[in-house]
Amino acid sequence: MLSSETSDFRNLAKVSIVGHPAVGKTSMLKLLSENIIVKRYIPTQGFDLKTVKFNDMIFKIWDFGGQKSYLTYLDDYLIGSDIVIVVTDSSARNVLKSKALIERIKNIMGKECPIIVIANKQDLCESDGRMKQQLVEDILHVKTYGLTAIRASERMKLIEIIKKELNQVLIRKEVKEN
Amino acid sequence: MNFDETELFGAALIGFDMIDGPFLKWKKEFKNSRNKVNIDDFAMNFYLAFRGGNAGKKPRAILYDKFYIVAFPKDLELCCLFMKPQGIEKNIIELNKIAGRIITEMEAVEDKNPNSEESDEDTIEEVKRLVVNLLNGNEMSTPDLRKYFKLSNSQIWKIVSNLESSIKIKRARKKGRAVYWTAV
Repeated sequence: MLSSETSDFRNLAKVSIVGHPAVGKTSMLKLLSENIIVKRYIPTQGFDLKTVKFNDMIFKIWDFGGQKSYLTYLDDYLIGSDIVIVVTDSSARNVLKSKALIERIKNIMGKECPIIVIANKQDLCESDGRMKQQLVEDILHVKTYGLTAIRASERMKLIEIIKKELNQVLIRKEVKEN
Repeated sequence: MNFDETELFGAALIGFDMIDGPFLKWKKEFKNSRNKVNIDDFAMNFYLAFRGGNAGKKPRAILYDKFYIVAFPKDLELCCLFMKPQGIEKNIIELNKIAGRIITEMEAVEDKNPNSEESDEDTIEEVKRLVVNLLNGNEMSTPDLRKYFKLSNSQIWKIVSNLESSIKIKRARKKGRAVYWTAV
């Protein structure tokens, strides 16, 4: 679907990753760009931008710092996003806090831009009681995918999630136009 | 720092688009350039570093480890000159020593006059969530943890003790007087 003939994104999509601090946004960016993920936490200052090429698709990925002072600028920098990914660390507290963030993003982006949730740190569900993907989805009422961003093997899964969601945007647009 | 034209190894113009934000308009690399900077990927960060925020003071030059950038804004565009610094290593080493000394002095002052401001319950709970995430698969001492938050020594100790009691984190080892923590 996302071939050069059909893509509205002209094979270039702006993917925005948003979420509260230390939920794994930068780990996801590193996972996509095949950079080494270090376990020591280094907060993203402002935002980071990386271009990831995958087959005929180019993802421009914006990784926003999760601190309150940086989230102030969300309205300006989310403009033009083809998809917004809200990341949660799957802890009960953070999932509930993410609800307000999702509402804010919905207000900024309107209905056209898909918002999906990544329930990260799924490897910790058994050991420290993080919520499973389905429960996160039930609480947030937004399409949710489970992920463990520190596992390099999950890169393809994440790319497929993004491609699938972008495809659905195209399908919706086509249906609307016809 | 004395300017020498041979220090110049590249130039770039970063434009600004209302929809896409900063973008690389053009770049020029000079002969014999051994310094490889991925300007395409860094354009956004340079723009933000030089022009971030809406008002106030803006930097004219930024010194990185192996190069420095001098930038000249023109309307919404930013012309960046990429330079190879020469003969400043000694200065940097000396300045690093001074910075280290000031940090130690100020930490001692801070320890004598701890921040007595009480954080609200919501902030404390958010700090707890973050501490558990920071310690997941990682070992950090209490002073290391403190650097991530606006908290005094006693406040961070109270939080880690609380997390230890609720079996969210545990003591991994001790190095000197510092206790290293890790997530359970």
